[in-house]
Amino acid sequence: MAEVALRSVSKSFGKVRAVEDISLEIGDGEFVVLLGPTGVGKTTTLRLVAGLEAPDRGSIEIDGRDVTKAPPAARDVAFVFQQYSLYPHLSVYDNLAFPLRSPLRAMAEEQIRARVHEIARLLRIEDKLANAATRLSGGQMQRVAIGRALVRKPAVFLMDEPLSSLDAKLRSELRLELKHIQQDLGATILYVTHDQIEAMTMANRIGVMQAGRLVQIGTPREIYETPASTYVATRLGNPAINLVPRSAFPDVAVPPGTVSLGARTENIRLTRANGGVGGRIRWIEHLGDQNHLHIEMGAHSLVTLVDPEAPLDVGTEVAVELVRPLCFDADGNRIRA
Amino acid sequence: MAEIRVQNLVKAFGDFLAVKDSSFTVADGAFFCLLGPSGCGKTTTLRIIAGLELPTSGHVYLDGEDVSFKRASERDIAMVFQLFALYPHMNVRRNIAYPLTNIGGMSRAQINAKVEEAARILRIGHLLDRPVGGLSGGDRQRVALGRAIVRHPKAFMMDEPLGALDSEFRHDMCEELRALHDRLKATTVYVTHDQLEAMRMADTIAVMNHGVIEQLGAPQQIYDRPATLFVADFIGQPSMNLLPFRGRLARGDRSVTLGAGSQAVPEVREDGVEGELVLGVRPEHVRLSDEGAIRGEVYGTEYLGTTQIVAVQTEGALVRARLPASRQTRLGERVGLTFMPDRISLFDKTSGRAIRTALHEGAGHG
Repeated sequence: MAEVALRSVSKSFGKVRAVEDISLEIGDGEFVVLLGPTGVGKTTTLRLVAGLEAPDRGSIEIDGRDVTKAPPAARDVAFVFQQYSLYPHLSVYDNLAFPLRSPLRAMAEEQIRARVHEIARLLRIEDKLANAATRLSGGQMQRVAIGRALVRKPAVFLMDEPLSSLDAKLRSELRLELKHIQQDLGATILYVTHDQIEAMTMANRIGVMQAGRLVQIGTPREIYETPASTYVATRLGNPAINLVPRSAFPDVAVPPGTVSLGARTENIRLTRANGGVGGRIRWIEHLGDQNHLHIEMGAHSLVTLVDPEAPLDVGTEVAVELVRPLCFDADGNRIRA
Repeated sequence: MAEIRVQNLVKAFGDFLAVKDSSFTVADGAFFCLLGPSGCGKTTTLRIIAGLELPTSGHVYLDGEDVSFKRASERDIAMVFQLFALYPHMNVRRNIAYPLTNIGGMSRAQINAKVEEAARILRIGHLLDRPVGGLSGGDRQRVALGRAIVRHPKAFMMDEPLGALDSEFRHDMCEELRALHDRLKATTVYVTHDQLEAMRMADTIAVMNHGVIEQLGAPQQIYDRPATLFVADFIGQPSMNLLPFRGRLARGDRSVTLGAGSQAVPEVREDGVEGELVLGVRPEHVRLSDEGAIRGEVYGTEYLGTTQIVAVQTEGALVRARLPASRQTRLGERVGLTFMPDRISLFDKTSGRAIRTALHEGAGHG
């Protein structure tokens, strides 16, 4: 297992600057997730590390070795794609064994068997080894696809939205499995997704991308609690962070230059009494485990989580108080208090 | 405005029963969701209401009138599909106006007024003279909705209209659709496999599985008091923890034996339940506690910002707890679990049915 380093890497396609001066180091055994909406350059970054694209500028190192010019096969990486691409005519066992039977790696069939069984056990598909690959559910097929990457023990795993074609329930199961296996194996993973839940729940560090650039990198907690900008702040959190003009809460003490305030559930205090800024409950969204409360405050509205047992109804007048909100300047950059 | 009543609806495709004897009423002005996994019969039900399929048996009433065998065009219902089929060679205005141009006797000025009104409701007035080609996914969806609302139909049928959008945007559109519904107050039947969409928008949800309505109720009711094991497992992210046990229950019981310990439960209100049973508890009703009788090892944690999900491997099953994000745990740490007694559901494993308890009395079965 090894570490990956990107040093000032850029890549354009014609006039489109897909990746713009990205520098990133991934430690041994670290799980790094690149997060951003479609078209932000995450997949291109991943393909650059894999060697499926060549950078225009900058260099890429894997395990201390400069691989910028090396072909994909010489990089010791395993790639897992969004769509599970299994060999339909092979059994699950043979699909898993396939990468080990490459003529480049002379491995005894006995060793292969041991390795395939070990991975199948980790992924809880040991009882499916004899099945045809196509006779599996979607979740099982994606497990096999991940397993095929895992059998090889490559220096680094590159994963491109491997869970996004699965339904919500399977996705939540596989998130936990993948994180568990990664910790078990001490695997180094670079993973891209637009799903904030995947990023928050699995990453050691999240790299937030915006228009080809890496705009912030940190632990999920750092990104959530101390975002560098309104863009980063709106990437994480459900309901999304509330952004309101500073003037909506004139009583809150803020550093000079503050133009807008960011408030999550943790920063919002609601009381029925007077004080704070007056608002009215416009709508309560029942999501089962928690409710989203939509509060109308003149021209602005806030969404916050409340306990389903809270005695609040549509139309209830509330006082809204902000507790240590995040402060942003005119460009949307956060001002540190 | 319309009330929709579906009575003993059955639909067979050859040997396959897509819908098995469904009955339900959608109140005038209600937002009604048919929710279930793919293949559960929800789209077939919708298409029968719209008149795009004929029922094998049973009836559909629109405002009291039996329309079971009337053509779709005679039902005054508007369909909105997942893939917004807009006419690419027409601009936004002409796309929205299209359904009105087929109706005779409407002047150009009248049509224009109706289009402007629909565009105003959907806040796309500024796009009316733009070609549909360059629009964002959301705006295209709004144009498709505009085409549905411009006719002022009695009811809307929506088949996964947000399915093609990415998740972040889908949530914004949910809010928009519900707000639109609140302004128009038109009866809406909405098909989706996405529980969050259903929870966010519906007044009433019908959870379907294998052609059967498993439960019919308000979102919070379905979440708090699932009528069957299927509903318990399908609704909730993460879903309800389901712990199998063997036992015998009698009216008045207030605890069950689970593993080594005894677990308090809502008072049982029926007799003669025994055999393979299941205890269901939502992750937010699980607490870590040294006193907990059920013990296990922390298998993984999932940070979610305000909260986190902690998965604990117990002897019987993996149990997930939703805890404040501030609670620290280590992988492999031995912990005890307690469940909030009054929020527990009990099920008969063989039939999948919820056992009547103080919590479950009055839960609607489909």
